Amino acid sequence: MKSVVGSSFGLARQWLTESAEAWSRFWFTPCSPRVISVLRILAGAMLVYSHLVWAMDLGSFLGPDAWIDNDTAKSLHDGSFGFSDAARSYLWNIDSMGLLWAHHVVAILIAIAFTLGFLTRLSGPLSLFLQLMLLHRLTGMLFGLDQILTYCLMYLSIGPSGACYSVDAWLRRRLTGDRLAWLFPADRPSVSANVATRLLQIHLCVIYFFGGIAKARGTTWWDGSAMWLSAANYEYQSVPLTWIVDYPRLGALLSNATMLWELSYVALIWPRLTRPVFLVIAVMVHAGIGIFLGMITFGTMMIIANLIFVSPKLFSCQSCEA
Amino acid sequence: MSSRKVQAAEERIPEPSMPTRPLGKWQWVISLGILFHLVAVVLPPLAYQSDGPAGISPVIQAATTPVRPYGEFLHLNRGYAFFAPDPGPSHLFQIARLDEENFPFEEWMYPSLDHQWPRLAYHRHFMLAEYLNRIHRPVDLPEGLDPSIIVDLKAERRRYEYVRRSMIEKMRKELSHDNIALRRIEHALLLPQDYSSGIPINDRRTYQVLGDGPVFSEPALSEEVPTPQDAGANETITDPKVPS
Repeated sequence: MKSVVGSSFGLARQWLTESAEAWSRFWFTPCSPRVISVLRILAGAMLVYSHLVWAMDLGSFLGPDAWIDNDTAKSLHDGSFGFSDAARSYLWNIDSMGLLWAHHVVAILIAIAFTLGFLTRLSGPLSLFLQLMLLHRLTGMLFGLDQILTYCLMYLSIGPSGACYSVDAWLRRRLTGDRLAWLFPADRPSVSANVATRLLQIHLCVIYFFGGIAKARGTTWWDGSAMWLSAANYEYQSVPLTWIVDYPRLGALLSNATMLWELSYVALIWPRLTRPVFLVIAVMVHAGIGIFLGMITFGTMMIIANLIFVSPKLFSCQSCEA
Repeated sequence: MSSRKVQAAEERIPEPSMPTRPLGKWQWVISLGILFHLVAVVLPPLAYQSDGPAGISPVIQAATTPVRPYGEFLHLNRGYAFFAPDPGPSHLFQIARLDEENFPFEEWMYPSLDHQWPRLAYHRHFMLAEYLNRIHRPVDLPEGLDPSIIVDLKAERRRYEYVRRSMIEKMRKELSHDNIALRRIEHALLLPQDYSSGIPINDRRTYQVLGDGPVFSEPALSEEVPTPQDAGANETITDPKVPS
């Protein structure tokens, strides 16, 4: 009896030790910052574009005369209607369009700085904060693009996403060298790059898994009619997909495959054999969403986010340090 | 050493059999932070899925409480149910300028590719229309409801009315016109056979005005159903299960 208990404790201890080592390898192995640097440029550009579109009709989205005015927007979050949450924004309290315009121009400039990789350690978190203030103010007008863009900003702000392909990298080579290393990170593998990479990878897995679960609770993604219903939605339609009505098996295949791909992404994106297949499917799914369902920005941003699973070896960097 | 070999050496991931150091103090701190964040990432969509007739699962509700403010602030409180559980009809809203007799003499539909560009701007208005429909609650509540549910539904109705009023007020100022009307519209989806018979997906009959009563989707094509007299059904219809 004593030997059984002793063996069990020994096995448990061994399991805990191996688990801790696996956790350490997964999270704390240094990783190249090249992928997150590429993501910085692409996500930053999307952020700038999003800000510019708000700016095309800023008064309709922000301020006292917006579709949802300041007081109503605040009430949606402060418990006035029975719902109170932590999604607060100082933009609720700014009625001056002059001040809102100044704020928005600053947000655009900081987003440009982040895209170009200038003072990325500062422009990244600032871009994220300003984006969150906008999102909390713009309740009712948001969709998947805002979610994935915000999450990318979040994780890119954690890692040294300004280490490559950036003004910071140029400044480091020309001016600072190893001084101010935190502000101008080197293009070297680092734990923070790895943590940022892993967080975005896991978050993507969560998004797809629960997206698949939600679809699996319906009927049309199983019976194959979901693709037709998506194609038949006039308000989403950009390039017509209604020809799929003549190919019901194709529609059914795409419906089932989309749901099953989402459900299995969390498991099969990790192995080397299946990762390329799942990334190709991701490009096809999101390109389809962009081309046929009019959500070009969302489809593009999801493809950009999937780049987090691409090997940094695919990206060369002339400034890489031996 | 060639730059390629340097690159490969830098990016080599340790083999699983390579011994690793135990977690240091800072790694423990970072690990706890990572775990907290991942809980905040996973629980909101889990709570969304666990929301049923009896409410959200109490165990998930309890687990979500410590991370809720963190998740709400970072916009992590999402369900990720894109086009799920099933793709459904889309919703629009229509603004009309009314004359003294409350007759509309000018109308705008939102979203509209004719008036909103680029596509992202169109989509913002589309999301606003969907949001207005999602928060709609009827004025009249069914009888026999639990008082706590009545309180919640009344609060939700007030939310809808405030948002709607804000939208009307915006158009009043923009058009410098007091008499503005707003109505919600649902654009139903055609069945494949209807589309194959030649009906376009933007046929006028597929657009239905949503009243302020209980919300339910009408059939895709709103056409008059003939009464039994019109159909000449004077014959007796026999239930095959009932012996004659």
